[in-house]
Amino acid sequence: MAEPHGMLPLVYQMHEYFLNFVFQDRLQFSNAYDPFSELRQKEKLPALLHAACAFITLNRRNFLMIFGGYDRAKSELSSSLIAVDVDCLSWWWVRPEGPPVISRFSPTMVAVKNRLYIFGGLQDDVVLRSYSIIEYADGDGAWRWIERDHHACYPDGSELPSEPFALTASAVALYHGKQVLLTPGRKDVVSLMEFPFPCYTNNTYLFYFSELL
Amino acid sequence: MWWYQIHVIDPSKARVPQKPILTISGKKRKRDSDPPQISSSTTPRVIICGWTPYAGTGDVIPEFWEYLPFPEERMKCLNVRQNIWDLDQDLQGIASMGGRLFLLGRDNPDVDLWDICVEVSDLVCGLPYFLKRTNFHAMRRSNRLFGVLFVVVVASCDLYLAP
Repeated sequence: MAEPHGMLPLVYQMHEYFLNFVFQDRLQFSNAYDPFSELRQKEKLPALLHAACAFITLNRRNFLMIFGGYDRAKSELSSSLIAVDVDCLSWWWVRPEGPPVISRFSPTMVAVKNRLYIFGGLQDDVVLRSYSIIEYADGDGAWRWIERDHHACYPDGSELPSEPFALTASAVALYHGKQVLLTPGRKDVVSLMEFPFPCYTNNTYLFYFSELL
Repeated sequence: MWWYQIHVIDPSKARVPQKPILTISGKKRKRDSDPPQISSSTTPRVIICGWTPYAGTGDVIPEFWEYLPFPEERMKCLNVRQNIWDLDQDLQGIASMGGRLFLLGRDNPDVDLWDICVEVSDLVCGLPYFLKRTNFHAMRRSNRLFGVLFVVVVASCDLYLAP
């Protein structure tokens, strides 16, 4: 059984080992934006802590998209988007048009059709109550931000609580992407989550995101 | 609850359970009931797997909740934690593929990787459960599942703040 008090180093070890010795070593860096460039075979997938991940299928090809997280090698938060071709085991940096979104760790990300919906995350211990949408255009192969750090609120403009955007919050697409269910994260690192215990039976901390697709 | 992960089982993608023979630790169990009919409901099932303290121990154990989103807006605990506890396995992650659910964990405490998976699809569906252990080496042969493992590991790390 899992022992919570010993979990932190354990999970970190798993993460480090997995990224450094298993996943990273099996992936080949690919400069998708300059296929004639010099091969950089030693370029390794960054070890990003608390990055958001989502599978997306584009043109019958399967990709793992990775956004944000804490880049331990650079000791900084990331706002980068990485594509991993899980069939060909290659990866590259995605270069969206326009300025980048806010760097963060522990965001959540949901893939719907050719779009990625990114919610929340933290920067400097501040919960980002916002969402961003990036879209892949099949015609020219470009990724473009449809929304960039757009403030999330109720339809009447009132403020949302921070839990659906906080550390370890989660999100899943429902009804073929017409809705996204946001579930709460932690108020802080040390406190246990009460979700989904009886106090949440009225689902006051479950939120639906709909862009009226 | 220490951490949780959520997965959606779309009714259209739900798998009709098969009749497997299960094997774990040399013990065999056979399912003794026919697979049920999949619900005709169009409401997706949101499966919440949360790791909660197990009373009287210092351990945490997975428990499952089923949430039927709008318009049904119902949540119920599936009360399967004792079944999972009885497996006596170190299970700390979960992945879903095509309507099937797998708990991921470690069989070898000296290996810092998920090296086993246990299918809990039928357990979560409220049926007599079965276990299908797969070692990590075999799972790595599938790139897609390999990717799923990556997500799960990263998701598990989401519990903790960056150093």
